[in-house]
Amino acid sequence: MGLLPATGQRSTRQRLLRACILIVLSVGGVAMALPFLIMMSGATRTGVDAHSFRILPRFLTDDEVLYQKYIEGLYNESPAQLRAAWEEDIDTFDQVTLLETVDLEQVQAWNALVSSAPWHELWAGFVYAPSSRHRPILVRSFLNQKRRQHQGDLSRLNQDLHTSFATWNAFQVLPPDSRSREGFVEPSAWWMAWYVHLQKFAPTWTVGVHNLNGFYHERVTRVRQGADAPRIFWEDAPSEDRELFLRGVVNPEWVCISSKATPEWQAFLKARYKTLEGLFQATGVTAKRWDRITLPRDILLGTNGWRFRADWLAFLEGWIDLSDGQRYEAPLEHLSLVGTELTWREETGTAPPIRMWDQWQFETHKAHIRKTFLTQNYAAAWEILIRDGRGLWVTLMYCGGSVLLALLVNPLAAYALSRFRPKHTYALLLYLLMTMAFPPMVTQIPLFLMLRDYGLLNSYWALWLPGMVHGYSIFLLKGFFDSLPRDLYESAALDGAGELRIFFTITLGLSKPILAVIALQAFVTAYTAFMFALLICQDPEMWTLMVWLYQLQQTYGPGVQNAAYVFAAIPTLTVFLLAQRHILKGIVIPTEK
Amino acid sequence: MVKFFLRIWFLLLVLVRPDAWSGDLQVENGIPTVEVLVHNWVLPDATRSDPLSRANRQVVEAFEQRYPQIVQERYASRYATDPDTYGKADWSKVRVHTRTFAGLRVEGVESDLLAIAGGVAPDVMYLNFRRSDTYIRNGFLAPLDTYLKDLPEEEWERRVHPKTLPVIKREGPDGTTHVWALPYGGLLGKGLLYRKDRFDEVGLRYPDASWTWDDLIHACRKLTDPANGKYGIRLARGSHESYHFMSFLWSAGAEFMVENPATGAWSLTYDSPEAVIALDFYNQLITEPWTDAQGTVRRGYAYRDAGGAWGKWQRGEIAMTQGYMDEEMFTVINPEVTGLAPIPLGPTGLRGSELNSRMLALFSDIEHPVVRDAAWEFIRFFGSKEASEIRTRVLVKAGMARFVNPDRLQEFGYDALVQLSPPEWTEVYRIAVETGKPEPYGPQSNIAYDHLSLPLQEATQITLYDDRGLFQIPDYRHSIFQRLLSNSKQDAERDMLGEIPAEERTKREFVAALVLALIVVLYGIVIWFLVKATAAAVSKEGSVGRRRNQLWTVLLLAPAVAGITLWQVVPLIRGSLMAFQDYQLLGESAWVGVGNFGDVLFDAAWWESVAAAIRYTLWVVGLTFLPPLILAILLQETPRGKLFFRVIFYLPAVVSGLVVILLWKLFYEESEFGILNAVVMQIPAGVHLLTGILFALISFVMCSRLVRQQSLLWAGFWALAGLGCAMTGWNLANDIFQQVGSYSPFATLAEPVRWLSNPETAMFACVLPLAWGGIGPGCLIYLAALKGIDEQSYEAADLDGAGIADKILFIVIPRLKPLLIINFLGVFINAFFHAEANILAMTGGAADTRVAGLHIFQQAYIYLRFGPATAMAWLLGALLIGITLWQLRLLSKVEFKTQGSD
Repeated sequence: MGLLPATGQRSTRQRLLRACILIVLSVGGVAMALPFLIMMSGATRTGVDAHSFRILPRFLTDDEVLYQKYIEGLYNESPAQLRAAWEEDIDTFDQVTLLETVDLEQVQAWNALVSSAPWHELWAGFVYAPSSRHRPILVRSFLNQKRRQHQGDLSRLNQDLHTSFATWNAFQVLPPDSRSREGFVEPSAWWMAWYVHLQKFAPTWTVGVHNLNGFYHERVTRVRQGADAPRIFWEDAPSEDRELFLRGVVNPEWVCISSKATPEWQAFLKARYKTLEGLFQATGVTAKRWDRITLPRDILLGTNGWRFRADWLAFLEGWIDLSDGQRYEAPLEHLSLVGTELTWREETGTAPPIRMWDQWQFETHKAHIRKTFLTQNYAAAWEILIRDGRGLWVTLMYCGGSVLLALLVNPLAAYALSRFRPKHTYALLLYLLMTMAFPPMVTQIPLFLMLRDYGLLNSYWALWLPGMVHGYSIFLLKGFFDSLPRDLYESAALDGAGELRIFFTITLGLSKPILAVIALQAFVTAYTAFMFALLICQDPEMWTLMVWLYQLQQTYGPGVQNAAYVFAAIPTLTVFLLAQRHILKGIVIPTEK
Repeated sequence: MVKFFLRIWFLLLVLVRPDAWSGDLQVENGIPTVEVLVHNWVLPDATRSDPLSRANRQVVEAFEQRYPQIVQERYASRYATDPDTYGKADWSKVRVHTRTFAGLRVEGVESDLLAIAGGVAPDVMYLNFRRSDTYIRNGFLAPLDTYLKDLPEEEWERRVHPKTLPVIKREGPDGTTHVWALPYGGLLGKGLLYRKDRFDEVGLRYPDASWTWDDLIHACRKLTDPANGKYGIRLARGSHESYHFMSFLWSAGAEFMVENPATGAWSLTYDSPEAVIALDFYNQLITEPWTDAQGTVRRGYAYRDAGGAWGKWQRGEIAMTQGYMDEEMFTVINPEVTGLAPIPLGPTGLRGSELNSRMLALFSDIEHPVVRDAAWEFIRFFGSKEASEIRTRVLVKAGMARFVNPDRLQEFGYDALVQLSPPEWTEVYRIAVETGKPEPYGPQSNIAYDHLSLPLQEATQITLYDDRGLFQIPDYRHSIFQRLLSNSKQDAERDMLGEIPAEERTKREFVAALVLALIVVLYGIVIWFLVKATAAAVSKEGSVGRRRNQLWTVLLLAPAVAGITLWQVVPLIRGSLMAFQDYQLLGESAWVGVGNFGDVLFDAAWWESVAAAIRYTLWVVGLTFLPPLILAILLQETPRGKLFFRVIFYLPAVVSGLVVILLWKLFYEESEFGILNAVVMQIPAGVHLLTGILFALISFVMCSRLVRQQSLLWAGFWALAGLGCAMTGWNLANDIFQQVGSYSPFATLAEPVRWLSNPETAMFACVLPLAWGGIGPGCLIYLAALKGIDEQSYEAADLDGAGIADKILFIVIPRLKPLLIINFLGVFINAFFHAEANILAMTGGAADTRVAGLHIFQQAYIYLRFGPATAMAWLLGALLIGITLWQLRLLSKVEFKTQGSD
């Protein structure tokens, strides 16, 4: 207690002052601590609760928020997809509510029907997060499974799946929308692996079934009549709208051309290929007569229709023979949609209970889903930064090497100056300190170019060597060593101790506080180095944690970022806890001579 | 102890392995595997399922399959006869893999050149017209001549359009002409995309080849309805604004840049009368005033924000935009709702749109000859007829035949599908190629758009703020535009062509020489001072002169001296030389005398960045210098929770440096949901006012005490500080009053603060995290120093009836003076020289925050202008030389004591 007078402590004025101090400190303390708590809980957020700053995330206690997060993830953060599935007008995921009751009988009947649906009718949730930009769990599980399978060898994975990922972190899945024409997926190695993974490893609560009627509303009615257009069953829609949908919008996987259109199909093929030989060349189909060629029901992979895919599409879309201007197309009355959801409608006359089904899935797996949201971003950040990115490893190497070098080179030089007092101490110190007077950029640019010329870029040496000697540390150390009693050296030398032994045991042993300061300084400099590390180690294998963080915040959203920042704080926290005594002891206060 | 160090050191040596990043050749059991690194814009993403990606993927796979055969045909015999060069392997079993190159991404800039400098360049590079010159001139590309000898004439003609030839075949850094790159996918032409639904809605006829500017603006007038979020045309904003303007420039009959065919010299020509006409029309599209149905006055017809433009276009809220057409695949638009027309005709009946081409080139520094050959074969295959056939097949199979160039359909046997594509598209593409002008590809044309964007922005600004209506007079308007364009052209001539009038050059060199002489003198003083200071600091007692000791001295000092020499002194010398060079990363650097200094001294952008650095420094000093002292005093005086508060305030030090910045960057989210906005928008105006007044009062109390003690200078300082606090409080409150429109003290901000994109707040926002992170660690030293003040001085003061303010002013501050001054200088110098990392991570230099350090960083590593960058670094250092001197003097006068050594 210095400033506040010792007398009159009980006066009102004094009390007021003390209260003020406490208030100011408390407000400041909150401002200091709050960002940390926000950072830690922010790592659990997705789009729905991104803007709630509660320290304890609401989804831990509130099932409805958890459900909103679940639905958001399940529909890959696309309200349009949710609207189509539920056939309800929902614009944001925070409008999602839990139903009072779920008709279990209906849900189970639907569940049974869905379990035999073909792959193009299913879609996977938790693979794509365009708005909260995290790494969804199915992508992570796919990545991790492939990583295990290839023993962490990326180039082998690239070979096997015909991909060209530069790093494990480039791994991503952009789910095709198999409802629409553009969403057709070629059976490439990559997609086959993905679908196999889905079948084998995806939890049931991450998979949904497409609702074509909802899709029709979304893509045709809503576009033509605006967002307020009433929902109708697609078969009741005007025929030109239906025709557009069938011929141009929906993925042909869903379209069935009735065999009644066979004559038109044969006429089309005849016009298109003129000869049976031509047909064979294009499709590999042999036929003796045009009227023997059957019309494939659909063009699913593995069926006869697969070979006719291009022709079938042209027949569906409509094709004009240039030679006579004749138009060939499958008659509208012979076109229909097939799908699990349509079967359900036919059988029950009601819309499929997709909303109830989702809620049922949610309630069955609630605990698991909650845990997923709590940990997923931490797990992703761990994988990105530390497991696949090697950021922590590179940083530890960088810090460790820097500290060791700083503790070795600087004290050695200071020791030489202090113990032997060479004639040119003054010139030497001047030489070591001189460059401090020059602007840092002047040396930094040529330094970079020198490292480049020596072929040291992207190596640990480039990180360690340039910052190894610190003239000012030598200056400080020398002053410190000078203050050590010289008799100690003399007696040690008399006892026959070698110079190095004296240096390590006596000099260093007696200067722990200042060494701790130097070590800490070297550690912090290395740990926080950003521009320098970014420039000289551009190879992703050699990115330090800080470079990773800079890259990560350009790709990932706040959730993963926050989790990554928590990880990045752990090493510094540890070091500060271990070294706190030395930090206080090592504070140097300048006093006038 | 020794052993421990040695062991760890050895362990480190083992663990360190420099890793080759670029593509390479690996031989396993005699089977060679070649890995080729390809620029990520070229290599398709296997995880994408859209037809175009799939088509390109199949091409890459076909290449990987064909490669062994290619090696057999063209290389195997050569490889086998020279195993020293090519490696010993069974070339009949060779395999190739392509991999995307993964460079760093630096916000707001293209970082390809950075990757080249950083030694992680891809083997197969991606070029467009605009970039070609920079790449060729810097020697980043390998000439393709030797490979081209084996390329059949037919293949060459298929790939190289006569309009591309001058871009790829030109003089290199060695002074001879080579072919540097090969295009793929044919020419890219530009057309006008329009939404049929919007045109139907307002009853306009669709644009066609006869459309003129008059038709365009007429259509825009009818199509624009900002009240409903609907706009006539999409135009750009920002540094690449001119990208959309180019079509107008050419259609008016003007040129951007022309080459004199006789001399090969380039000149800029965009200040012609035709260009003025183009600017006038373009400006009309953006600024023409009109009144909408609700009676609101609106300006212009263009939607110009990059964000959200694509979504708006898709929803049909933008009626027209310019778009590229590829030769193979015109465009992936839905012909049912979107139409394609040629760029409208200018007033003279001319039409011009940008022509471009995607091109592939070989990196010049590929180490292994086999990798180079493989990279070439990739370039060759990717644009070959075979590749084209594969693409066409995949697209047709995917039902996208209508988007494919009918010529290709015909060529590959899909003639039956030709009629699927809207016939006018072929015509539009033909017109686009015929009337197209190549994107500028002359010297430094990668910055062409930046230069041309400036007069466009200025024209918009002065037209919008034309209070006197002078801009309604065409002649006046034209003369102003003429001046804007001429000024911009002069700047561009300097930056792009390095053309400066001789007179100007002499003047600059004269000034540069003067400044340089001054710098030399100043640094001379610094060094002289350093010599004196060190001499004073080091006692000159006699040395221990035994031979053995001398050996030890040399041995122990060697690492430090060598380290300083190698990593500090040599770079320093090299850096001083580089400032006088036009430094080339690869190849010979030319000496340019004081030219770099002259250019920098007369470069407005440089001085702006210096001004930004000064603003940054002032903010840092203002926000981070005093708070730790205040905190230390508070902590010293707090009746309880000393340790608790100390820990709490120290917490931010745990998330160090960059993490603090990035964490705050999240808090700065600019919507009303951003954390900081959520807090700030709750604070009523009255609180701002009261806080301001409170701080002002405290300051005035301090001031009055100082006046009483006759220390007028400092009294004045406190008075000013008090005024500043009061003003700030009023300004903050006033912002709220203005927004709300009333003077209620309970009013709160109505609009969220755009922290990092509003130039008024951006710099403050960049510095605030430093204050947050630095206050705790910063206060430790003051706490320790405060402890050193003995109780008696306070007690004596108490007896004299001194108040708290007196004690702070006349006991604490004088006692801490050396510490305060040293810290002040440290903060100041540090802020001035080390701002770039903070700014790079926060804003990337946007919103007037590009500080000098970042400017130097970008000039050096993003644009590879190392010479000018070093010159800037010297100038920056010279600006602060006085303060550096002061710091050195002080440091030499004090001694440091650690707490532990007491």
